[in-house]
Amino acid sequence: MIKISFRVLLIILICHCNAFGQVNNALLKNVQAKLDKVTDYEAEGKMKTNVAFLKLPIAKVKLYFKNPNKFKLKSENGMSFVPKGSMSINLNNIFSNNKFTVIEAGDDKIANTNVKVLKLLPDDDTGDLVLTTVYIDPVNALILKSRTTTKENGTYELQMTYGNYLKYGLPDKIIFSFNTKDYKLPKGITFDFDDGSTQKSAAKTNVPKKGEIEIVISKYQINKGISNDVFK
Amino acid sequence: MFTLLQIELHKIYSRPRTYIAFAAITAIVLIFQFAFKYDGQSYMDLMLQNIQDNFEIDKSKAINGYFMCYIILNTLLIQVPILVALVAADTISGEANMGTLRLMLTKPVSRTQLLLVKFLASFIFTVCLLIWMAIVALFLSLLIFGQEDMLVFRVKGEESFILQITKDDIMWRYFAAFGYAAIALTVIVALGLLLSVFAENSIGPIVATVCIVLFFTIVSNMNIPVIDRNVKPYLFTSYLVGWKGFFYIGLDSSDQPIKGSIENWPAIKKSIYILLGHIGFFLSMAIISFRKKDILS
Amino acid sequence: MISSMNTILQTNKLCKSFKDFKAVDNLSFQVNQGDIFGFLGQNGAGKSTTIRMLLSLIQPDSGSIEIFGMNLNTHRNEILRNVGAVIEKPDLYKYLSAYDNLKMFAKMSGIKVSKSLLMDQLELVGLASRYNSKVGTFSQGMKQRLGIAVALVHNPELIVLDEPTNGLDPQGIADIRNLILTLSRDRNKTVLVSSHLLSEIELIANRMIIIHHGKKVVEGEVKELLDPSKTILKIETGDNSKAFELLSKSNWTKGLTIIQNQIQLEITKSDIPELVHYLTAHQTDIYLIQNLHSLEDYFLKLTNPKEDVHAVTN
Repeated sequence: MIKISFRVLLIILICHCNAFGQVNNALLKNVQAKLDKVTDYEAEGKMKTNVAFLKLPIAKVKLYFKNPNKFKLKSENGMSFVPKGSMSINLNNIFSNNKFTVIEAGDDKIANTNVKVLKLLPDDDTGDLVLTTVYIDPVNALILKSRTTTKENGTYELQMTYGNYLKYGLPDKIIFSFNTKDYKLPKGITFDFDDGSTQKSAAKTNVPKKGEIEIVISKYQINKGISNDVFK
Repeated sequence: MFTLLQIELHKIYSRPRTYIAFAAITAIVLIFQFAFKYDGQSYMDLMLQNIQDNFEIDKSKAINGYFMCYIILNTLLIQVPILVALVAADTISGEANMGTLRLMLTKPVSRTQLLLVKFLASFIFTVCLLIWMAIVALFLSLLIFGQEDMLVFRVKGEESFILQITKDDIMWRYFAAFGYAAIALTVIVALGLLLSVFAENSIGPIVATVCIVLFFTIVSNMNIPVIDRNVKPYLFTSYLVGWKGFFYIGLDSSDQPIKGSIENWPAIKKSIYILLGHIGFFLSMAIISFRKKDILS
Repeated sequence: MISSMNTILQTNKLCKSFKDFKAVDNLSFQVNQGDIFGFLGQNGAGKSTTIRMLLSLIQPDSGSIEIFGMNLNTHRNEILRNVGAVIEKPDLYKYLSAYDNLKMFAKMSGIKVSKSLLMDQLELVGLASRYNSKVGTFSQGMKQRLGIAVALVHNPELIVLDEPTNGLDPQGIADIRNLILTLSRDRNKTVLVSSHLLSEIELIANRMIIIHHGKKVVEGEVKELLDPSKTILKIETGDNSKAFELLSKSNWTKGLTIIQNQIQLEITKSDIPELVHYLTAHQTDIYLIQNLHSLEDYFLKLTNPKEDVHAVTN
């Protein structure tokens, strides 16, 4: 088993971060209150990678969380490609800096649910983070979507679908979208077998490529206590 | 026929030269294994390129026995034709050079039979070489590096991508690949044998076989569109790497690998037919020429 | 085609050219059972080409070969099962032992191989003590003897030896000579042995053929051909064609030909006065009569290697 840290997912834990504690926004407070019910959890998930240059089978994963901000994603079998990246570091930046301005940006709809849109602007504009937009379902006090724009690493998005663990604010499904760079091996390095079949599509140049990771989560075990060793 | 085959095999395996091939394969494999054991990471870094900016990958897991075998075969199967040529292109010409050919042909054995037996003996040698390769490149690698899912780095047209095959879906692919390699190398056997018929020393046909294989391989891998379209399909060397087809796992509509599948079986099948056609052609030409040949050596 | 019951080998108008060079030209001869048949000619005369044709190593351009009454083209394997051969140098697998070499070729001849059989053969050629040594360590003479063992191991009726004494020392030559005589005398084998030395053939063969530039010069009993009283006579007459016709009807037909407006024939010296009388009695004017030399001298000259040589296969 390899231990892999899926720090990106920290975004779903934003309410656990002290940062939000100081945000004087009723909606965010509600969200935080809901998430505070969970001190730790362990869950099983199936991770599907949709990236043009990665043809990977669905991976069985385990997710671990412990208050306040410990999170770990482990693959159950085989190898996994786990997205990491500067974005997660940037997220940490927001929450550790504790300084951002919340702007209410009106209402929107996600899959027939009315949502409130909040824009979080970092007070420190020297970092990579430019803007984080969160879409909150005010009725259930849940974050359905967030979008983060960075200077260097493009935009990435998190969409969450809730079901069985709605009352803890824990999603059944997470879709994480991000920008990928071009992957190109030098020709000739692989001595490939040319089977004569035509290639699917000419690569679209200059269009930023999107990658997507989809994790379907089940069997949450909430507040059963987790050893810190898991996160090592 | 069986007696003759026994005699031919006895000859092949009594010669020190034969073991050069086995030693060469062992040496190359061991060097690969040693290099990857100590610095496989840099190879992985090269192959993964900027993927590591976006993803976390356990490279030590990626360098496993299955992956090692793939990498080794990738290189070895380009060199092995040379080793096969060393034996196959020597079969007739070597005997002519030694002077034993004329003695052999005064025995009550038809030339066709003799050539077929020599072909069969070289084929068996090739299969033994492949079995040895499987032992050192696959099973020894599994022993050293362990079992894990395998990454296949592939360039197709303008696209580069990585396929992941789960570890329980790999072994049969290797068996199929080695089977395919046996057919592919048999083309070299038949070619070597054909050239061997015309010569009275072993060096000529060995060098000629190797040169043809090298030249065709280089042309096959030039990646120049005009050549790819018009020349490549007619070079048998383009099909020598067809064993990789077994590692091009089939994908479903959402690009997920389908366990136990092959992306393009018809293409592999076609390659097999083309290779068998070459074997048939080279072998018949060899038989026709050998039957007519005046033995002056 | 077989002219008598005991003919083992018969060639009929064999021809073989290599590009523009005619190596064997219209060659016919026969070998009878029990013969030690000498195949004589200088290097490049076509001996090796002929022998290779007899062993199916070279395909004749035209003509036919019958061995044991069967056509070589159609019954190759049946014939070769009963033929043993050493062609020029007996090259064997250097990396194998004498025993293994012998065993391999014995198996190829299609016989049941036993250790005692193989050891007997090695004994016969005096190599039993070295049976396990690699052939690479053998001297030329030892290789030659092993080659003969290979030729004999399947007990063939006809043994073909191409220049078997080439490269051997005098003792080796004598050994081979004795072996051939033993094979013929004690085992009733038919042996065809080629050489470019008349002296060698003279010592062992009972019949022989001499070829020159691919053509037959003469074929017959060695004793008769080398009879010192025999000579070649050259005659020029007023009417050669009439004289030729007269002689054709006489007893002196041996070697009778017209070459460059001269009649040539073989004759016993003591018969010369009678021949002159015969021609003059038939109103033939004799302008010239010349006793060329003895047959032996003639053959020696033919087989003298100093003469021009067109080597093909040697």
